[in-house]
Amino acid sequence: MIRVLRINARRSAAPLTLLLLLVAGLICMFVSPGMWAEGWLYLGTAQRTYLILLWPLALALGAWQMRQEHRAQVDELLHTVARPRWQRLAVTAAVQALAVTVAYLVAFAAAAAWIADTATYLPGSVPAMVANGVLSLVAAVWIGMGVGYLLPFLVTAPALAVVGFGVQISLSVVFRGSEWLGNLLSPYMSRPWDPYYTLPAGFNGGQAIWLAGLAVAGLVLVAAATRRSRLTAIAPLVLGVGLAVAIAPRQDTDSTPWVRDLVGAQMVCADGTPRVCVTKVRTAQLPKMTPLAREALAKVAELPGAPTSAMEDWTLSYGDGRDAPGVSPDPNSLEFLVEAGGEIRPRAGEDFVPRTLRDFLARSCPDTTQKQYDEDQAAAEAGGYWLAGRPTDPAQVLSEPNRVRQLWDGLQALPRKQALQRIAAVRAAREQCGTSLTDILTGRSK
Amino acid sequence: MRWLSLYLRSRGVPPIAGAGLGLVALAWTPWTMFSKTRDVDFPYVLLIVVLLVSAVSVTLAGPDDALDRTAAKPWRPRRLAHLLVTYALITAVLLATLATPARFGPAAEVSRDVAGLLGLTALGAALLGAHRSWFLPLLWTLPALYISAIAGEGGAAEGPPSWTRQALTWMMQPIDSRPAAIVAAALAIAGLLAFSLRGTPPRPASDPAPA
Amino acid sequence: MMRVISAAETAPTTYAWAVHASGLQVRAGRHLAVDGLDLAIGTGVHGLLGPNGAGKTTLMRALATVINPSGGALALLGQDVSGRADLRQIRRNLGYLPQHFGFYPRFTVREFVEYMAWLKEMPKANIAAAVQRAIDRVGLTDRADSKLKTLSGGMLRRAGIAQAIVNDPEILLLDEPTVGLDPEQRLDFRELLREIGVDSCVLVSTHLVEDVVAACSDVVLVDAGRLVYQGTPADLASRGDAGDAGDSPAERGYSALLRAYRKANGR
Repeated sequence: MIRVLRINARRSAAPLTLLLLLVAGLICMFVSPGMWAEGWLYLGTAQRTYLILLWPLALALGAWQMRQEHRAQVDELLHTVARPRWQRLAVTAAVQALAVTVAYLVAFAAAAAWIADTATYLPGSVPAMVANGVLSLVAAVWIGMGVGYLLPFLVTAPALAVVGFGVQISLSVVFRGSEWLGNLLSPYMSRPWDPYYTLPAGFNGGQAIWLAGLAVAGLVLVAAATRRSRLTAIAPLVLGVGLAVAIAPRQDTDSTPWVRDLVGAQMVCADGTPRVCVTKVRTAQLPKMTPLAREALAKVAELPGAPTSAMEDWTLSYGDGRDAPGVSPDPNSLEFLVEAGGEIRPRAGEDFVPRTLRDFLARSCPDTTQKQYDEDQAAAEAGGYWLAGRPTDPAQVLSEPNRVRQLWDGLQALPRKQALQRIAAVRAAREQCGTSLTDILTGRSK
Repeated sequence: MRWLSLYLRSRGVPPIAGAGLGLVALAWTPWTMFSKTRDVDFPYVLLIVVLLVSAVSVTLAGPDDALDRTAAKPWRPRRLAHLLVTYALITAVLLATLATPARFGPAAEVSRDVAGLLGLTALGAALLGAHRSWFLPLLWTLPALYISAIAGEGGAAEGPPSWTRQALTWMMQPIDSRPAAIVAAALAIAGLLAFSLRGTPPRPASDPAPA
Repeated sequence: MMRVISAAETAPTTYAWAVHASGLQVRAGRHLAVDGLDLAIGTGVHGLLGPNGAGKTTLMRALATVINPSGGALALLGQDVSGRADLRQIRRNLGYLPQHFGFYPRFTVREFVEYMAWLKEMPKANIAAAVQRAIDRVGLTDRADSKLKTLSGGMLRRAGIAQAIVNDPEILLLDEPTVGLDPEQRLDFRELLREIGVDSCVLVSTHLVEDVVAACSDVVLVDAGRLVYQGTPADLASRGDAGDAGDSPAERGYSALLRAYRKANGR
């Protein structure tokens, strides 16, 4: 049996499958490492998005295998052997499945080696995503074999690839109203750009059942000898879809399958004081962030009621049901953002301190005019740079650079104590949306 | 006419032509029934073109290369004609839909893409053999479609894509993109020359004939 | 060396003929290529002769269990094979070389024979030795690890014979095995046939009458799907006289028998 597997592995189309899928997978991975360099969740999902290419390719390669089988014209001879036909084809199918599995896992491992020392937090859903990715490729290669057996033409392979690709890009259009269902049925996966999301186990489980149903249907097509037994391939398909839809949990408020990963968002704090914390996902950034955050804390220490600790702000707002459960910011804590920007080792932000201090002063008022918003933003930026003890950097500021500079000059001209008082007033005005931050900063209103 | 029909049958053209027409009809019908717009989305048009040129790949070699090679009649003009006529037929069928409720267009882009992809197929046939010649158009078009889709999501404000990107995703570019036109023309000419001058590499004699 | 021997292997044979057909009818497409053939053969080497289109290949395919008979009775190794019989036990003891034999071009000779041995459900422990022996017997020892697509036509034919004999079949069916063999190889092949025919039933379909005379203990002559003649090569040779077409006594006998048969059936 082992010998027979080995003969098949070497002489069938499996080496071609392995080679093409591996090369395609590695090219996809390393063309834009920014897609996955930030952590395990990104890696798990990024590889799934590349299935939009690899999955049709696996379909085609399965069909190609059966085309080769057909071309060898061994049916006459192999019809007379004692071993049942399905056993012979099971070996071929197993070898193909092995090839796609190895191709997917090697591409994953190559990328994983890249990020292994910086990506600290491994959510349980990532191995499940990888497993489902492998399963989807196995299903594809078996379905390809099944179709290739029924239609042993040269065109079958490219036609399957095109159809597989077309189906995947169409699923998101067909299920426009339900991203959830599209994601469940398609091997390809879309995802939010945020590391604090995960897929619930039930979703991964449901998807695994659907993909397994697909794989079994492919096997039935390959192994079935009669038309009637081929029809039984419908059963695992229907069963797979039914069970998957029943098992996979639905988020009622919106259509996405993604849920907040509160474990990944737990805080990890550095030793020493003042206290500096980042989320579990960002643990690798903690040593670099700690001195920067402490520097920012030191800059605001002179303000009345100054924060005594610094925490990462991880609650990105989508303005919909996916938003984080209302965690009210701790008034005694300075919040800062960690922006990895798709880098494995993100650069220590040059302007981290002024940016964090800007956010410390900025406010978000829901009903405000664009003009008022710009003015508030300029005031916060000028205050942030002044607190950080730096001149404004026109390349970095978000609002109108001249306006920021003007406000900054105004602060710089004041005695230090008075300037600090004005900044404290700006900070205090965060809660009252009716006021103008620039007026407070320039002393026009108290 | 007799030898022409024999030639076409030896290359399996009638069933392939039927399949190609059937394919276009199969894509055309649901679009007229379900879509609100007349113009078929360009990615789908491109997928149809890839399917059609893959189908053509079957006809680029006969059942026995060795036997073909021993023919006294010169093959080069016939291979050239084979490609040119195929090109004319594919574009004719696709452009004919422009007068119908489901349009596989725009005409200029379709003509360019059929030329480039057919050239790529012919190039593949000359280098890898006819039975593997569908690899290249498929492995180029699918990633190009994917990259263009991502870029489309990312932001249109980036301005025109770089020269390299336009060349790599040539089949997705508008007709006035010069890099895309250059790549398509280069592929078409290279494929036409390589295939009509060289033909397909002979397959080993002991390979059983394709059925 | 010890191995487990199944009951089937030690059981005494319970059949008189390895192949026993009566009134056998087999279709090739719509055409009834074998039409009411009666045949009974046992151990020994049997040469199957007949003109083109006589139904030789269709008969071979029916005996090899590729196609089901459409009428009459066919028993292989004492077991009825018409209808929905379980053919597995028979097939384990069957060797078959089709007229056009497909193969995987990328397999080596050894891999191909080994794969076939596995498909014939040979006991795992015996496979490696049996494969080597089969390859040695057809004289491909030095090409055992060459890929099939690199072999010449004659070598390929011998690889086909090797896979047919690897399981020491009780019924060995060879459809035109000598095509592409050079004269020296054909001598070796006849020797091989005689060896195997000592305790197996070998049926060789061929157009080469001299092969039959040299290697076979028995001649089976068919025409238009029916049995024309069954006898020894010596008897075949004695049937012809100087007036019949042919360059050797056996060929003249062949022509005489066919002519007489066709005349009797009004053709």
